[in-house]
Amino acid sequence: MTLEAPGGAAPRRPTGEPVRIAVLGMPERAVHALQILVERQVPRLLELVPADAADVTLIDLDRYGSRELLEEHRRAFPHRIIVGTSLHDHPGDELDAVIGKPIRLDDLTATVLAAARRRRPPAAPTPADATQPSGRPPVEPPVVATPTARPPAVSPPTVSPPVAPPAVDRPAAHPPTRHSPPVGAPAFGHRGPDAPAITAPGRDLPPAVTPAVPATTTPAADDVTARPELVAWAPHRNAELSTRRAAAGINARAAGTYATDDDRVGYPPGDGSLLAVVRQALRTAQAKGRTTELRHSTGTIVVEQSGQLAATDIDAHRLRRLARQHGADARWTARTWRGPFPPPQASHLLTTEQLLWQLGAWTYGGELPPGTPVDLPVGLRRWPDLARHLPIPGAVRIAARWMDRPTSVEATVELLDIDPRHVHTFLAAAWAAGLVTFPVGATREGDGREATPGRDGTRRRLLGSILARLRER
Amino acid sequence: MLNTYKILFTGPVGAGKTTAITSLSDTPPVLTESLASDGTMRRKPTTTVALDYGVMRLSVKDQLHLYGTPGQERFDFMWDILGQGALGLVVLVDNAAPDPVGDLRHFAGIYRSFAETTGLAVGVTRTDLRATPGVEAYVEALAAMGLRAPVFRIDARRRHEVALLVEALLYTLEPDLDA
Repeated sequence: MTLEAPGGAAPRRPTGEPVRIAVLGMPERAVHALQILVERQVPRLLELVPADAADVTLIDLDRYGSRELLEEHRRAFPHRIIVGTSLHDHPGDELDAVIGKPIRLDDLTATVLAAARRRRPPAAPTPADATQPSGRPPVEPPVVATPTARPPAVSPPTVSPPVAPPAVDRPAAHPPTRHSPPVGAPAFGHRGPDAPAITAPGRDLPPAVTPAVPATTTPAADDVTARPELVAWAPHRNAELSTRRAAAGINARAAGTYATDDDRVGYPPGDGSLLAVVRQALRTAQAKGRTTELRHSTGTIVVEQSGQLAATDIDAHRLRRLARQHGADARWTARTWRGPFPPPQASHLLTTEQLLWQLGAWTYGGELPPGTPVDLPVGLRRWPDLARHLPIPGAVRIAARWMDRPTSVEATVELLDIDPRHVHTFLAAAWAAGLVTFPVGATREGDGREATPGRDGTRRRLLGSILARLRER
Repeated sequence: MLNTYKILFTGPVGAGKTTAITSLSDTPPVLTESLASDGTMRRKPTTTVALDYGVMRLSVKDQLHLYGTPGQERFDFMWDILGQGALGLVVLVDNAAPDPVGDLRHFAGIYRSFAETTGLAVGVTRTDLRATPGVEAYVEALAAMGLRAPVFRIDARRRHEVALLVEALLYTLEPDLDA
């Protein structure tokens, strides 16, 4: 990651990387809360970093001494994009934008992206730009759903293009604005080069919807459209598979033998994420009957030979950051050995299901894994070990539904009235843990089946009362 | 008139039934603990000799009773009595026991017909003392008996973990609950 030297040029970041934000003058608790929100909700768009590594600084203008803090920060980072937050109307003459309090994450995201985008130098017109009136920021063209043999899972008009964070470049004089995004928050979908598609076992189906968006398109935060209900196709920025295997340092023969076995869950081998590296290590451990260690500059992850247990000395916070880095596999090396498990330096012992679950949840950050068929009924091989897994809102309900009768992602969202991000995260986590199945023969028509007849309302009310009590703290 | 419902907790000695009920109960549970005099005393100083009883108040006229059965086989006669009319069954298994999967088979076998007609959830305790067998082994044991149930590793002392297990049990009874 490029660091901005104090007073030096702002970093030029590749399009697709999250915009890095530093927070100034806010209480630690607020920063922590913001960090959790950003990491959970918009990890592909924003990232909280220390002041010297940021593209954008967010400063609380209502705090005592904020004026001096701002001036000091300006001196240290003269070209830094600075966004203020305030309860009051603020002139903001030294700022790129001001957000009113209370801060909403979608406001913050849109404002930061817009501020960052405005600092970009004018780009050569693209087909998307050419469609816009002059003087307006470029607007991403609508996603074109490519017809497939099957009807699309998500009707094209409901799919809006995902927003990629803009590249940050040198500043241009720009008047401060109080930004208010027009509609909703940026979409969760994120594009990249095509990834190996996951398909249901025994079925060779194309993705439901393939967005035909020019790779050079840069979306405009001002023109963020309503969030799509479902991201039908969220490919990852993948490198070529064999390169990643080699980079991961895993024995090439073992990789060649075991990395291609796609199992019942249809997980794509090697998509450039830590999750893929761990999956590979698990296969290697089981195949060789040896403990497999993955080493990174921040620590190690060790998978026990039976593949049931894993140990690591990397704390959850760092692990989450690593999980979100694509192309992370290049920085991991692997070796196998016979020896005691867990190794003495391991501070966290967990089951591989636990590890894969949380990596799955973190890697996709509210999106679906690449190529997930959103309209096929999803089932579970068994209940996930939910009491010990990274909690996902509605997880018990989703698990119960998918255990009882396979239900598509779309229908699950609709029937259970759960935020799509939680269903996506659950699917990604369960998928990573190897628990997801797409039962052949289960039909979409079964999704809307009513509750079993004969289950009277009295019992439902009773069970509902018990649930309410159980959820009390 | 007060409506009472019940959920049954069962499992081998020392699996945490008493502790789980204590975690959920609104009032201090009625415990029938006695100094252990048999092999149990090697594992814990006291053991349940009749039953444990806790209560969750659901409304002014509804109560959920939580019953824990004694773990020793000589109290088998209690199990049938307690199982009558229960909403569901929670089997707790001590992962550090010599044959925890066998314990699950034993208790699931006793209540098999009950579990088939109502609901079953399995809590695996003391995984901090022994990490294996894993959840998969228990799921396979149940599958071999034709049963499907949520199997969670829990700490019976933690209310939210016990509550999550019971919540899963309720959703196995009514998957569309809350919908």
